[in-house]
Amino acid sequence: MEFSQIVPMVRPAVFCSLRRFFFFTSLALIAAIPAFAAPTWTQPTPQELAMTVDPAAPDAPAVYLFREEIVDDNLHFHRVYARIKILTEKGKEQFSDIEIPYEGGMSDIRAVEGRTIHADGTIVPFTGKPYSKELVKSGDVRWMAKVFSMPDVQVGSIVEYRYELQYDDNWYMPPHFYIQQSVFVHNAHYHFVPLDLARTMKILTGKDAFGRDTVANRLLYYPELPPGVKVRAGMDGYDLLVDDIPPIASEEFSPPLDSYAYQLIFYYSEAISGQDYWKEEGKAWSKEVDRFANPSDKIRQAVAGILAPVDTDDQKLRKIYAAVMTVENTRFTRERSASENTAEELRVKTAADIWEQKRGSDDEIAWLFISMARAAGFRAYAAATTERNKSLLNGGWLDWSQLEDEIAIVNVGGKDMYFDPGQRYCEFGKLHWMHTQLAAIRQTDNGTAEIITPAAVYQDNQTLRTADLALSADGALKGTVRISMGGAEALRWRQQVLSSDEQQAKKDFDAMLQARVPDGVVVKTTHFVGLTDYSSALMVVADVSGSLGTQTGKRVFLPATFFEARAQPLFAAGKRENPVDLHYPYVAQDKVDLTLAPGLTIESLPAAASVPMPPLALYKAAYSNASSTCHEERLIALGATLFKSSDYPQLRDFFQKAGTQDQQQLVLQRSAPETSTPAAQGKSE
Amino acid sequence: MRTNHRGRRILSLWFSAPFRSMSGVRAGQLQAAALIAALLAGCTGSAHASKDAQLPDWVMQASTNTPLKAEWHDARAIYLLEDTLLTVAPDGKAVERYRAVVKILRPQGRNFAMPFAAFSKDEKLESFHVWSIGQDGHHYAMKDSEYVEVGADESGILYNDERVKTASPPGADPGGIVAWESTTQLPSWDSEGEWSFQNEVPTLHSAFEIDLPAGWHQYAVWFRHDRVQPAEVAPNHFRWEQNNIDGIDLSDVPLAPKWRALAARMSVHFAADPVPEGDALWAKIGDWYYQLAAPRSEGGSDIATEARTVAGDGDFMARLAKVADFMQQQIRYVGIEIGIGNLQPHAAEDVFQKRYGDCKDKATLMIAMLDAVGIRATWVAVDTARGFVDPGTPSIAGNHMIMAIEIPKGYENPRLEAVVTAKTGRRYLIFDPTNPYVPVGQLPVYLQGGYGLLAAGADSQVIPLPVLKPDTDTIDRKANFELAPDGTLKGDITVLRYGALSDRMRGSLAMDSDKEQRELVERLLQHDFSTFTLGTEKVAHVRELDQPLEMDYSITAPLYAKGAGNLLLVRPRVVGSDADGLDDKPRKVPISFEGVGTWRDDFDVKIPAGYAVDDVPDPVSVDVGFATYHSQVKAEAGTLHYKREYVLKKLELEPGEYGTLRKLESAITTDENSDAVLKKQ
Repeated sequence: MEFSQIVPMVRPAVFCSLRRFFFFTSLALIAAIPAFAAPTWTQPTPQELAMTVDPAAPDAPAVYLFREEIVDDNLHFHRVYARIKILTEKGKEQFSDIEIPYEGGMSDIRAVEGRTIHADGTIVPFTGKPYSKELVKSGDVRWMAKVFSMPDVQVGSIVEYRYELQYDDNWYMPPHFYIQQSVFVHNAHYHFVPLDLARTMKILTGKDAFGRDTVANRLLYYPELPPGVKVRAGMDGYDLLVDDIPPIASEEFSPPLDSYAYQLIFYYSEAISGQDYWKEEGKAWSKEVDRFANPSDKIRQAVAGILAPVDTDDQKLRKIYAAVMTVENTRFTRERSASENTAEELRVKTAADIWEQKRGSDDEIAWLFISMARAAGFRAYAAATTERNKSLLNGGWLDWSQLEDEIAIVNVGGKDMYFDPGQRYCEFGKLHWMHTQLAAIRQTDNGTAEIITPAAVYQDNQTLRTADLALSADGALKGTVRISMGGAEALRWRQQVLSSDEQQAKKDFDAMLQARVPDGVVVKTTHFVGLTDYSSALMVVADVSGSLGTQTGKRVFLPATFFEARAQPLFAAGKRENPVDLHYPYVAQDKVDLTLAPGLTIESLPAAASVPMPPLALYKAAYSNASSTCHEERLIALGATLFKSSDYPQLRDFFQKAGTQDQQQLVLQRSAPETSTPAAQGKSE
Repeated sequence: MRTNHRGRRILSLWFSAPFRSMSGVRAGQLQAAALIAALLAGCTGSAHASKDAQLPDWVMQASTNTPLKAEWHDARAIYLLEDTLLTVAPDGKAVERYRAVVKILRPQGRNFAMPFAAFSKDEKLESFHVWSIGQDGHHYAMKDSEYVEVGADESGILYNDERVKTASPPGADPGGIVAWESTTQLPSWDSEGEWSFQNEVPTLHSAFEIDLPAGWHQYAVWFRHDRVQPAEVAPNHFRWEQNNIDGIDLSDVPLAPKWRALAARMSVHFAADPVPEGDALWAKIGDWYYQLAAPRSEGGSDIATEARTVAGDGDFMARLAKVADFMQQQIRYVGIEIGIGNLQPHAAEDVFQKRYGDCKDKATLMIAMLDAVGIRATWVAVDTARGFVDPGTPSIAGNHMIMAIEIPKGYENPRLEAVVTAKTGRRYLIFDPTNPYVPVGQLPVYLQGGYGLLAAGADSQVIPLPVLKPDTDTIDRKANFELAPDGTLKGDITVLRYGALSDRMRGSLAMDSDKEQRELVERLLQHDFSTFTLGTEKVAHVRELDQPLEMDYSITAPLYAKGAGNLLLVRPRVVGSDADGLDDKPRKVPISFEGVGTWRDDFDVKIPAGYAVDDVPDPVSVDVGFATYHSQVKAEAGTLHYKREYVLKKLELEPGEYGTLRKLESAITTDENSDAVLKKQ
């Protein structure tokens, strides 16, 4: 599957399903459940039995020969039937044990049947009993799984099984069909018979994302299907037939692929159209924002205490933002239970409560900022969005709960500025990278509107690494490293300290740095500067010790790049199926001074190098020396974050070439033959 | 509820099956469950915990400020109190009451303040209570409705009836205190209490009591701790106490032994009759297990028929190898454990019919099959954490089951390497039928050097598990390269892996598709080349355990040799690394290697025309007793020859040997990174 476009990260169209509906009415007509007539098994073809490799999926551990899901909301069942050809040991491990999750109390798994067919046609029926396994029980909710293991599965076997999820009469569970599986699917059939709302005269009630009662009166579905595939709607329900469905490839730096996977989502709704849904839900959301963020007297007093009459708009906003940043953000500490809030006589109803208790969730803090900005006279709005590392807004699926995070927009001098107050220590006027380039819904003066959040530019994420080092004649290294970070990297470390503590962060920083500097070098983070000051760069200072370089009889060799000497190129795999999401653009600069001890002279410096990938990336390295000091300058800049899979070879090539350049060596000559270097340390006497 | 059912477990960690887990599940093991619990607790909007609740006296007493040892200043949390009371009724049934009070010192310490109590069909949880004190001094008592139950979820275990009750207590922040108490019935067959008084974080005070019926007996054994005499606080009621126990934090320790092989513990055996000591106690435990398992190995005629068909007519080793191969290839690892099923295997007949079972099931079926072809075998209870099973600590505790195959008197075969001789004089071959990638005759490295309980009826005993010779586990890398004037390196590489150390690589490759195998090689090469293209790539003998695992591939690496003026710098150690990453911190715990072995490299790099070798790295020769390392680069006839051999002879070193090991590693690292210099003529 390929993206239709690279930016923005958004799915077309928009709109909350009531995933489950409780049925209540005196007019209900309870449909009789017929006995579950045992269907026959499928006779495997000689080709299927003989298959050892599937030409349609040459690397597959197994393939679905056929998969079928039939759901009937009138009869309250969801049947699954699967025929899987096992092609490798991995396939055997993957598909021999079956675990079917379900919610205990309101549903059960029944009619489990199965058989294993060996490549020679021998049939081994499943005669065991599935076990009911409790996964999690909390209060009245009990998540269970039926588990069973298919008998005598071998490579070459066909595993065939079916079962039925039966749910209670007063529950309706329109299906979310995941068309793409973990392995290739040759043929699949999906069928859904929805509740006949008109004929049964049932009323489906539920709650929307804002706790409002809803009454569903129609069925909607959202199809994300292969090109040319259509859902057939008939008197007997909805049918979908698909062939040759590739699996979802798992690759590093992939966008949230679940948001792109082929799927068919059915749900009951009261929405007349998508537009209508998002408008109405947006209205409810906006009303809730306004209620919570209402600049009450307490908020106004707080703002008045923060601002000075002479402040400019920019100063006002900065002061408000700074005040909001002092509030404990429970996303990074611990969400308190209601009992704790009660114990502390705290309540969370409005922004004023958050301000008073100096604690809130990320969304509550975002709304607090909006409230205070409004109190200061700004036109401030909320925007709801997803997290780019987890999901994208799926426009055709009418489910507001996709929008999990809140950011803020403030109009300053006629121009909208974006803020991320829910991300503690995010820079003023910036968004966390996971909130950039995303579809979102924002408040406007007249209601709500769909927007795309701004993208970051590489200047937002700058890192400068400097090292001042001295190499002694015996190869010992001493010095100091200073790393100054702005943007995403600074935010990552600041938030890590919030979640753990500075001591742990130092340890983690050491580990990160240690993995990149040359062998023999030891780095110890001594301190962070500006951990809580998001308005300035975060500085990390580390001491350097240990040894540097290797030797031959005449020469000493030093890694020409200090900070990336052991770093591995970003991508190893020669081929790529998914697009690439490198999260945020950046520019990183290194400046390293290495003073050589007397007796060490430079024989050769690497040539300056430039690896361009116009217009998206650039790498440069240059080396020089003055008297006894070697100087290294290195720069890498990435101007884009999202790349098509067809761009992958170019991207991989860029990072590999940059990595190769980072492996250059500096050649020194020694004039003191008696000196020993680290290579001698391990030698026996 | 999602109506899609595509999620399923992947059975890759087949060795993690519990034989009998330690009775005290450690906090770290529960993090996943705790996460679920915390999520759910958040979802359910807990609102029931009462504030300023009356806390039990023991909680209040333990929470009283006590000065802590200075060296604990950076601890994440501290157990202020752990207190276990085991009450044994005259009918032998035992009930364990456990109490814990944990103070959170750092945010990461929350993981240790996650109350939990494990229970199952045979281990009924009678009560569970949680209290906490916020950093602001508020007192909370949680209610039953706030607790969450989480089912066991172990890799490879399809079904286990063990569950955990847990909670996400209020006030669990740095400075806060969390306390809990559980009362659990021990399984009726259990006659051993366990006191795991050492934790990952420090423990201020820990106590264990056993209250026995009149006339009953107890005998305590200690692991990694000197014997401590109990106080008899009431008739036949004994109490042990420990104070100021350091934690064992291995999170950043390279080459660390397994945590449970280091943490001190005490096991107390109790019975109506006098409890034997030492070897006699091992024999008693082994005999008990033998009586429990032996009936399960009685196979039917179908097993016997299959065994004879599989084994054929060869000699002892030939028949054994064929049955072993059948077990390794044909019987899938699937754990189904209910009640005593954590210990007792399923009937061999069931395992044979279904073609699956867990470690003890596999051992049982193999015992039955071997019996049918005239070979006697029995069970050996072990733990995959080398050192956990200890001769001085007789106990049923362990997490894995393997087997001992009796070798006929006078029979010799060079393939019989993992051999022990019991006190009876019988020779046994130790074999792990659960591991599909270590051939019969050898032993997986995680078991080598440990101990096991040979369950052989009255002849049961604890036995040492052999450490195989370093030349049994070998990796040979050979390569021929040609270097171009522009620095491009091209060549073919062959890697041969012999012995038990190859099992992980075999296991990974056996599961991989061709594409995934190629990606694996690419990932390995990424350690050695910044830029490269993998050409041909072939893997052979993944499943043929009597053959070395062979990987052949070709590479092209542009700019491998770095230009420096008229010089070309070439790293003669082109691929592969034998170095372990060590730190420079003071070493407190023993050094544990994965396995002993021999690693050899033999690389030729043909230098480009117009260049001559100007300088090569010095040879390296190190002998530190437990290991030797020899490496040499020679230039001959336009070719750089790199040859090295690293032999590791010991599995475990004392902490005091860390300095020597660091020197060795430094020599290896330097050698691996050294360059030869080619000069343009």
